[in-house]
This record gives sequence, structure tokens and C-alpha cells, in this order.
Amino acid sequence: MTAIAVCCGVGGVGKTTLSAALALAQALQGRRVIVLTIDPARRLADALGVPQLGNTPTPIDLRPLEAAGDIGTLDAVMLDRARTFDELVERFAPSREQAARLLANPYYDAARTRLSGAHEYLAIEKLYQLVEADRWDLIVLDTPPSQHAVDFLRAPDRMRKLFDGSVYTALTNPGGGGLLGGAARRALGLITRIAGESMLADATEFFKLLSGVAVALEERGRAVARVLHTDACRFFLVTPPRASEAEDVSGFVRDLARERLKLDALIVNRVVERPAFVLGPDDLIAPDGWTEARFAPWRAAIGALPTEADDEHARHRAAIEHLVAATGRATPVWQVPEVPGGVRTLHGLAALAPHLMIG
Amino acid sequence: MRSLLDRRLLLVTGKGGVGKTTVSTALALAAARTGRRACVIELSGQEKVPLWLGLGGRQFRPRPIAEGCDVISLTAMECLEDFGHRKLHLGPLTSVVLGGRVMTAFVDTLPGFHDLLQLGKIENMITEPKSGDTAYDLIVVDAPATGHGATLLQAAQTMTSLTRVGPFHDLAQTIARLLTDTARTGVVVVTLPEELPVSETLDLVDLVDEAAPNSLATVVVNQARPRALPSDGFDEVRAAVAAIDPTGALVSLLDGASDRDRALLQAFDTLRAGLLERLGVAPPIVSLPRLPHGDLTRDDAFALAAVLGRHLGAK
Repeated sequence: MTAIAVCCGVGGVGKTTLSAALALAQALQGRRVIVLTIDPARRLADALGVPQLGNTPTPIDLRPLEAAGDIGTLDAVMLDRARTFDELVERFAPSREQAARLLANPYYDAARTRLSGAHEYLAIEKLYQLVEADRWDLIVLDTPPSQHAVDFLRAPDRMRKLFDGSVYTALTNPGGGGLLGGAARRALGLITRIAGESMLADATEFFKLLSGVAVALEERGRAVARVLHTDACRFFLVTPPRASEAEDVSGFVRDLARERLKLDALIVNRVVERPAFVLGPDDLIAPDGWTEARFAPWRAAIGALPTEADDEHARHRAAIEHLVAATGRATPVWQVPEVPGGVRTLHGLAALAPHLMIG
Repeated sequence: MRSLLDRRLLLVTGKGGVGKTTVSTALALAAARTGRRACVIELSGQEKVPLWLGLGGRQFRPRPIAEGCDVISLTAMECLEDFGHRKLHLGPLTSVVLGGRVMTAFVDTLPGFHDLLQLGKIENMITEPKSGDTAYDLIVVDAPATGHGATLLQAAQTMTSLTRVGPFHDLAQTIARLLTDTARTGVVVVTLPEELPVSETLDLVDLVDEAAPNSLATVVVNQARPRALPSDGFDEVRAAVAAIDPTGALVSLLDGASDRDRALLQAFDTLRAGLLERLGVAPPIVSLPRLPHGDLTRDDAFALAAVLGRHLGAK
């Protein structure tokens, strides 16, 4: 059975990099791994040593790492939302003709990428396709950037509401169904007044075609959502070492619990470590041939580094305390050290591996 | 030179986590410091500004956050209702219809509807404030994250092509005029002085310039640390330190600081070169300092506003 690791977290916390590092760590342990990334980050492609990531899995060359022992394989694939949605429509529309009409509808083009929850839904759909392919031991999913980490879990439900066909029913049969019918009729009258007849006609056509695909998509959506609810699926939350993230962390843990899921690890990224014993500014000796005046700014700058690192480390420790409390203290916390200048090579990704060990 | 704050509408966008809300608020506060009436607007029911500044949850009506500066949080449904009352003179009964399931589903599902309704409210606040409402000199919109920020600019065009006649078509055209009028509207892109955010920012700049040519008014580089080390003699100093450092700990701190400095300079260089290459002329780049502590306080908002005010030469 394919194992799944879902990396959640708000945007800008290094989720994509950590997803790749997590995948690489497992590949180095001998497993066949694929990482599904959402954000087309050029640097990740650079770090992985491929020109670019696309909608089809790209094998990553791990030979530069010269790792010992039996290592596995790593593939990387990027979610192409538009194509993934098109593929769904083509696969599940009742006829080829209806699929073509839906793809050509003026609303469809904008809808497929902008529907509320579509991004998350399509990520899970792509995940499901990878599970179905049955080619990997582990799939690491980097989730779409969102305001709140929990958005990801709620997406399939939001998306399914669209497919339930009620909008179409209301649009095409506003007379039916008593009170609701009356309100729906008035709503349609209003929409017509605001938006104009032609828009309503295009929209009705759009909903009609969509509802043709809806039943199949709804079933699919349920199956897709199920992959998140098996023992094979693990959740990781990536967060920066900031106390203000505590609320988001506890909200995420709560939402997981509501779905009878649990957080496997909280990954605190870019943590500054406490410097070991260091020399003081007075211990420093100017390079040969330097005047003290020339060295003075260096003496001051180097002298400040340990204090700054100490302060930062203390702040991070305090923040991590808050975050640990927010998880309810039952979750492992992995601390990933800050990499000055960022992770930019395959070796850099591999260096993070010891901090990202799935048991 | 004309100040950024002389425009009527600033759309603040950028990748998630770069500090759009912070920059939006600081821009509005900076405008208020110059005697302008300013308002910061959050979209889609966001409420980061009031929560940050201790005002509790979101509200559709303006609330003051400082002298001369208000905050508003919009939702598409509230804007629709507002539009109905304002343009179509709908009575109170229609609120029920507007809030009903069909209408909600319609608004939620159709692309561009959300953006257009909220932009319509903003346009209306600028061009024809109701009597009794504050007439703002400057409205700062905390726009959604990268990609979606550009679709906000395109929303009017999308809707113009989808509706051929009717009040919505007119609204879309009015909004399109406002968004493409560079005398009134400017886009502020926020980024961080790091490689990845900068490269994504340049992609966003392409989208923005395509949606509304020449609308990019300023790039704000947020959380910019000052350089940690002097610029010359690194190799010699490193060798001198390595010679006496018993644990190597100081050398690795030195290397780390040097890596960060290099990444910082490189990020600014890439940003400048990329903007120049794309736009022919680079828009002003303003840096905001990285605040030493993790979480922003209310005072930080005013401190950042003061820095912005100085950079923008606001009068």
C-alpha cells in the first residue's frame, strides 16, 4: 500500500523545500518516493537538478549524493491545475460532446482555477491519481499555500458542494419546490437584473454541463477524500518558530481530530541553534598587515554575531514552547535548523534529512 | 516627484507570508500622518488588521485604527447587498433573497463575481461616497496572495467579456477604468529579500503588468536585515579568526553571516535587474527593516508607517 505524507502549513514557511527534503530522506532509506509540489518554485527544480518540473513525474538523479547502501528512487511532479481539471472533465463527462462543450464554455476557463477550494481539491485529485498508479512506496504532498493550514482539509467538502447540482436545479427549475422555489425565483430575477440575460444563459449552460459531470465527480471526490483518512496517510504541519502561529497550530490539530486524524509531527522550520563556546571580540586578532582602525568594524560585527544568535535562539525556544503547548503536547516536534542563504542544492536538501525522519 | 500616497487606490499584493497586511496597514497609516484620510481594506472577510490592532473581529463598516485612518473588511455578499440598495434601489426584503442559497451559490461559483463585487464597493467609495460616509483620499487594499492578486486586476476585464449588457457590465467597465488609470491607481508588490520570494515576485510583476500596464508603482522589500559584516577583507578576516577559534563555532557564525549577506545583496540585485528587464524602467524599491522580535505589536505598525513615510517623501 502506498504511504502518503501530507505537508501542510501557511505560505512562505519553506513547506515546498521541506516536502522535497522529506521525500529525499525517505528515498535515501531505500524507498520509491515521489514528491508532488504545488508551487512552481524554480529553485526547487534547480536544487533537484532538473530544468523544470511538470505535470508528469520526473526522475531525480540521486547519484551526485554518492550515498552508501541501497538507496531508492525519487521522482518529482508539479500540479498543473488547469490540465488536471480538464482531465477530470474529459474522463467523467457522460459524452465526449458534453466534455467539449463544457471545456469551451466561457465560465469554465475561469472557474477551473478560481473556484473556491479548487486548488486544494485538485491537489488531492492528483494525489489520488498517483496512488492509483501504484508505482511508489511513498507520496509526499506539498499542499497549496493558504491563509490557514486547515483550509486544505476543508477543501474537498467545499468543492463537493459545487457538484451537488442544486444550483443547476434552482437555475433551471426555479418554479419547483414551494418556498425555496419562490426565493430561488426571486434570486434569479435579481441576478438577471444585475448581470443581464446573456450572462444568466451562459451560466445556466455552464451549470447544466457541470451537473452532467457532477455525479461522477462527487463519487470521485468522496473516494479521493478517503485517501486522507487511511492509516497510510500521515500529516505534518510546517511552521516558522513564531509564537503567533500557535492559534493556527491548535486549530489544525482540532480540525484533524474532528476528522479522526492526527498530526504526526510539527515541523518547526528555520530554527536558530545556540552557538557553542565562542571567542569574545577582545580575543580577535587582526589579519597580518591590518591596522586596528581597519579591523575595528570587523571586530564589532563579529563580536555581535554570538549575541544575535543567542537572542534569536532564545526567542525561537520560547516560541517553540508555545507551539508545543498548542499541539496538546502529544505530538513529536521536529526542529529544522536555519540554513543561512537558503537550501539550493541536492546536498543541501540531503543535509536536512536527519531532521525529517519518519518512523 | 509625485508621492505614491497621492494616488486614490493602492492594491498591495505579493506571495503569502511576505507581510502584505503589515505593509498595507503601514501605508494607510503613513498617508494618515500626512493629513490624508486613509482606509485599509481587507477582502473576503479577512480580519487580520482588526485582530492585530486589538479591535476584535471584522466589520463591514469603517472603524478608526488611528487619527485619519480606518479599517474595513469586505465580503462579496455584503457588497452585493450594498450594490443592490445603491444601484437598483432594492428594498430591505431583498436581503433575504440576496442571502439565500441560490444567490450565495451563484456568487460563490461564478468566477470573478467575488472580486467584482468587492472592487465595485471600493470604486464606489472612491468616486461617489454616500453623504455621511467618509470621503477617503487614499484606499489601500490588502489584496490576495500572488496570482490571485493579478486576477483581481483582471476581474473587471473577465466580467466585461462575460456580461454583454446590464448593470454588472457597466460596473465592470467603471472598475476597469479605475484599475487601469495609473494616475489614480497603483499596485504595490511586497516581497522579501530572499531568492525564492524575489523570483516569484518577478513572475507576479509580469502578470500585473499584463493585466494593468504600468500600474506597478512601488516594490516593498519587507523584513530587510542590515548587512551583518563589512564589505571588504572577508577572506583575510576569516583566516585570522580560524587560526584562533578553538571550536570553529565563531567561524561557522561568520560563514553564516556572510552567506546571509551575500543572499541579501543577490536578492536586491536580482530584483533590480529583473524589474528593469521587464518594465524598461525600474519602479522605486523601498525596504522596510526586519523587526528584531517575532510578533508585530501595535507600535510596530506606527514605526513602519514612519519609515515608509520617510522613504516615500510624503508631504
